[in-house]
Amino acid sequence: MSSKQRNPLNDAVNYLVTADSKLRIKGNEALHKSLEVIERTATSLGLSPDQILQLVDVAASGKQGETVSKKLIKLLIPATKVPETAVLKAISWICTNRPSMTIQCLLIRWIIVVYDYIDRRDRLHGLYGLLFRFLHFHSLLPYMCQLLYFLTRREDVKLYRVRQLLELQKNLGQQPYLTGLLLIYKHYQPGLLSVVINRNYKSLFPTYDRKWGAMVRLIQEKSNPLERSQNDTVLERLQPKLDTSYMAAASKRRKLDCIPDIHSNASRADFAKGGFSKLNLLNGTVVPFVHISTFGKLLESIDKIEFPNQMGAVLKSRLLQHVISYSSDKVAVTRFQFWLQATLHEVLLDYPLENGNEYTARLLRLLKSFQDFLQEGIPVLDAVLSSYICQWNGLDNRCLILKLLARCRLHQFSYFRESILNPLGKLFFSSAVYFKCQTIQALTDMLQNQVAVERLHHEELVSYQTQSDINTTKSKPMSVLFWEEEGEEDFKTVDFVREFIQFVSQLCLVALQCGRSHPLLEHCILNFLEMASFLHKCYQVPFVVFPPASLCVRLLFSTNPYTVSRLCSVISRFKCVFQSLKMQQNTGQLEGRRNESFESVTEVNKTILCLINALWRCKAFDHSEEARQMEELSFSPELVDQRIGVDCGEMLSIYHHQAFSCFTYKFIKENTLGIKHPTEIKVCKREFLGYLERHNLKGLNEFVSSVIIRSKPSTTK
Amino acid sequence: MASRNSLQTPECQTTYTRIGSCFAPRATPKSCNIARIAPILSRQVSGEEEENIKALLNKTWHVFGLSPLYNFERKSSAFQRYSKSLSSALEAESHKGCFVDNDVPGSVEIGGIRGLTVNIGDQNAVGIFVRGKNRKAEDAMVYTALFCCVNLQFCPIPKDLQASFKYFPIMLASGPVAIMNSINNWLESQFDCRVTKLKFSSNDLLWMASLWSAYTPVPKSRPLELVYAVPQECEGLSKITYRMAAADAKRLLDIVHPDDSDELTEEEVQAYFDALESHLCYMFHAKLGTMYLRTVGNSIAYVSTDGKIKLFSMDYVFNVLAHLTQLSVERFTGTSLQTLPFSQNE
Amino acid sequence: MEVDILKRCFGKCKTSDIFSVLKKWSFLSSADISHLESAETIKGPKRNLVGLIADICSRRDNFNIESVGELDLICVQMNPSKCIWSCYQLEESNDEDEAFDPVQLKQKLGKHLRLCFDPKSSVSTVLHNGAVWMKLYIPQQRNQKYQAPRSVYLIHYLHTPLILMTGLKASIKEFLFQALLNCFNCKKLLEMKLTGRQVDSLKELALNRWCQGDFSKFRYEQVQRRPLSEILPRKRKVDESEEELDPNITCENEGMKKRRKEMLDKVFGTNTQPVLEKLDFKVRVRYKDAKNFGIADPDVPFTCEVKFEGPSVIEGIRNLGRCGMAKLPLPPHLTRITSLAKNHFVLTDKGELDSKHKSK
Repeated sequence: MSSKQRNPLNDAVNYLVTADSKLRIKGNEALHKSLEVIERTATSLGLSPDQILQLVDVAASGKQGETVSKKLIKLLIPATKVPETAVLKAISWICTNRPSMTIQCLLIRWIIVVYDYIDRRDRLHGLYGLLFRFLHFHSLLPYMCQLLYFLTRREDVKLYRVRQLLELQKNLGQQPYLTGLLLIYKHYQPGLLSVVINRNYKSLFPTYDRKWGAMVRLIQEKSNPLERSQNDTVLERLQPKLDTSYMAAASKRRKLDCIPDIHSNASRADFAKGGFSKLNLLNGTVVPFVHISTFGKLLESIDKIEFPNQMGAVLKSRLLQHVISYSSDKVAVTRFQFWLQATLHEVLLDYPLENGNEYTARLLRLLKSFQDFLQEGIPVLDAVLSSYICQWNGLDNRCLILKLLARCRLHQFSYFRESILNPLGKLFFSSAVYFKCQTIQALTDMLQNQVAVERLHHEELVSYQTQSDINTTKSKPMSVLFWEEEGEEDFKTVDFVREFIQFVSQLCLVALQCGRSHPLLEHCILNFLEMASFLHKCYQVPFVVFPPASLCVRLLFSTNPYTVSRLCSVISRFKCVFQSLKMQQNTGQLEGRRNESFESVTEVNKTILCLINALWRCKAFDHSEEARQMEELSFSPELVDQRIGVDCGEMLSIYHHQAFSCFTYKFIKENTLGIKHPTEIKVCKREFLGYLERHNLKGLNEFVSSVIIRSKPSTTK
Repeated sequence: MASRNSLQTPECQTTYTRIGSCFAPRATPKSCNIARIAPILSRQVSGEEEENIKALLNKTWHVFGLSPLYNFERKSSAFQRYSKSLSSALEAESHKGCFVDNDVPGSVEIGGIRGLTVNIGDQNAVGIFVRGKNRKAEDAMVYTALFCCVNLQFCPIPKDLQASFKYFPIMLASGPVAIMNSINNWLESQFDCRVTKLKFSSNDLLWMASLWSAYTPVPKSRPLELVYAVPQECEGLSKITYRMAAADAKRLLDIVHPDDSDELTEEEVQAYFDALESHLCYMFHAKLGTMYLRTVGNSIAYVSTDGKIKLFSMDYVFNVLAHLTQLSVERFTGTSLQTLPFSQNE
Repeated sequence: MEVDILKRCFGKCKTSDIFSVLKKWSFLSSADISHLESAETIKGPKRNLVGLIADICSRRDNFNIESVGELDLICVQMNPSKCIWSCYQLEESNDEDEAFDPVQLKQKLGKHLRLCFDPKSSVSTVLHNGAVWMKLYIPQQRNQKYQAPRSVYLIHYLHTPLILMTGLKASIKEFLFQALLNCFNCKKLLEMKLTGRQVDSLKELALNRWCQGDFSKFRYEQVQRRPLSEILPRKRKVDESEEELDPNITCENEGMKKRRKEMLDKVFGTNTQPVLEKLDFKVRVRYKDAKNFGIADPDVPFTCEVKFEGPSVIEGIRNLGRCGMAKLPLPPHLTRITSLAKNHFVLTDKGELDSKHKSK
């Protein structure tokens, strides 16, 4: 910024500004020199706002002739900002109609190119009506459309302007610039116009002046590197992103996607005060959802939002999901349910083969994410799925269907079994092991969901319904979105959970009998059992349900070491839970009624005894008084082939058990105590247990230490 | 003879339910499905209403099922607004990319149609009429659609939300397919509903055929016509058309269904069809049970599995429409409504 | 008008067939045809080529309606299954040996037609596949325009009493029949109730009544004449394709399938059945079913009409038996169709087929 550089520039500018009459072009050294100086500065550093102001006058008036004016206008590149006055001046010169048509076009183009950098635009916006009149001039039309596109705000959309634009469209045909302007008008007032657009307009307005714009941007970046470095075009930043996908032709849309898009083509806002004569979105009483694109905007108009015309679009938009989750508008929720009911019926049940798998899968996927967001099951979905799985082949969209089922609502168990569990069971029994694993996983999720989430919803709804008998003012359920005035059955969750666990355990047992210690299957079953044991601790339920002992004992016979280990840890955890429940009852924290959980205590004890007998005390098939009640492990020892050489009581102990045979082998190889045969390990059971624990079979140690009370430090025979 | 039911008392109520009442006791297929046979006539029909009913006859209609319409007003100003909006939607479809003013009246008229209701819970029918140029380039009514609700027994809209929704279970439409698609689309976006084609299953057709055969045939009735499609494995033969004189069909029905009862049960329907098929088997040894029933018709109406229907007899129009209404509601709610108690009086 | 007819005919054909049609027509000389082939209009749209042909033809002297009629006949011969043909039988012919000269026939028939109908009627004949194909054009009024619906196409198999016709209108039927009877020197022209689209099948059904079904093997010489000689008979084509025998799949009713096949082969034979598109039965039988007694008026028969439709109905009926969709043995009115040379039947209760010759 040396004064030497500045002075020639100022001189040059002054020269041009103060010239009264038209200067000669040919041979006019001074003119050329000043133009050169200006050019040099403009293309390297840009011009200051004052200089721009002065030069605009010179250029727009056309005083110096066309060539000079054109050159000058192209050089009006701002170093920092363009003053609004300059722009206003340009427009006023256009109004006088003194400069030629080319100069006028060039001026408008200049305004478009530097639009981003104008410091304030309020007064410019005030001239909207005036600028609109310029649309009559056909040569100015494309550029003026683009400028108006930038300037348009909601209040500018008036019926007469729309009509004028339509008239122009009729005369000139479909021009992209007219389409652009009409699109922004339609965005602000959706109910005014109808259009069907099949193409996706990438750029509505052709970029006339790329180089010019690039140069301006370059200089701006040089001088204001902190400003911002977004690369989107001016178009997108100044106006909301116009999504024309919902304007596609009817048949095309239906084929691709059954979920409607967000639109407010029939917005109620238009008709609030008697027809089109008074478009009254000015006071913003209702904001159609189309205008809300960011979370910030949502917060601004949080109480004025009007839902889009087709509620099905909630599946596609996270913002709308937020809105619907807090709204207490039952009508909107009902609309959604009706739409969902009809669509699901059509897609899943009536014409399943008509649409591709991807079509159905997409709908289901979106439903799943919606449910996960709401943390709630949708009743309509449950109804349709329960009819669907009766005719389901177990293959189509398997993951999604199972996940959706896992979110289903709480109902009385008899209904539940008839509608969902029985059909699932039928598929379960006749399918491969992977389907079984997935189903058990889904049932585990279902259990978790029912206890953690749906139980609370159910309780709230029941209390709401019973409350209505007593009070006159009801407080609506807060945590549930889909609820009805009446019809919620009252039943105890504990009954549900108990029967559910019973059912699933039976399924697991049958599966285990079919498979041959399939590791994945056992893993899933153990997951389920672990979930059953976590219920009390994690979700504060005042009960515990113990799975049938037959399942536990069946798992004991598996050939997988980790199964046995985990089984032991599950059993020990159940023991802890029972103890804690007992303690709670003793201290009076539980409700006074007799807790049904304690009815299964004898079964728990039997199981523990059986397991510890088998694994540790070498009394697997014991016929003593206590163990005889365990039918699963009772058979006469004469049936055992004596050639095995092992006492049948020891056969399931940790050193003879088939699951741990690999560890036994390794232990014998590595041990320093001189043990050559598994039976000898009996002496150092504890070391072996420690050895197993080092190999991550912690469950055994946990179980044994919690059940066996060591009276002496050394092991007994 | 089935007694002719001339007047319905206005106490016929429709029952309301909760949405997604999923785990209601599901009707197993073997349960007793019952349908009324007596012809339904709501009241003395006036001349205009008779005209409206006559306009339904002798025309092939596509049948659609509709979910409840939101924000549908019945005022005439609203109808005008809707017709303007629909005309511009149609025009926008035909000139793609061109913007159309929504406030200009066009080629569509929407209006209420009286005379097509039975119950007090029924909505008055609404019609959409589109004018245009037909094939001879004359100006004529090119497309017609009617929303009806006849004898609605079971309304899926909860009681507290009755004001916001209107329910028309069926829509009958007749005209070119392009206009049909555009109009369905407009309905979906305007009233947040879902328009689905109501395709009938072979079982539905069985029921309809039996019900209509039970009506007293007039001397010059059309024969009962059944068209079966032969499965693909049997190459060379594509369909079998089986026509039986109406009086003979009635005779067969009388064997399985005693005259004094006014209800038709599922067993009777099965037995009736067994009888029909066995007669053909006796004649040609062909087992119709292995083939698919595609079209059914007699002098009352003609119906096919792809959702098309043609009505012939004015006396029984309401019966047919009521049956279609019931099918549509069942399809929408996914329950079998025939297990619910009827509250109709004789 | 002739140019108009010519354009219509070529409009019906495919572009690739035009030259083969021209060669068969033999109206234009080979020089003309080769000239056309080398002309540039081949690459353009069809109507240019057709226009050129029309030009050349109209310059010839003998370009009259009869020659154009021959062109029309050749086009029809290319795909005769576009029209529905009905069969008629000439009876009680007077002369025993008739030397059928097509030209004479044409003149005779033409004379008769011009007597009975409009003087502008014309007859064109072409010989094709052992039969005389004729086009009778009988315009209605003194109308200059060509009325395509007023032409009747006729096929007569030489030395047989069979005539196939299509496009016959009720108004001209009487007089046309009279004219035909005069031409062929017969006393009666009976309508066989046999209609269809496949000309060959119709001919076979009509003429070879007594060797259809299983007896067709004799006709096709699939039977070994001299069983004691060493010469092996010609192998029959295996029409039941052997399915890929997957060793893991066993068919449980192998025996039943075999029995069915034998029964059907005995009735229908193993050769392809003649093609019919429709079988129409009007039945008046009493209702007989053991389960449902108690029917009102058990002696009054039921009036029914049953239609079987499809691409090849007789084959379809045979397949019904094969797939198990029909009870075997099939009733005689289905198995003897091929020998009856009809496809519209009336069945009544006497147990026998009552084929009354009712005229339409």
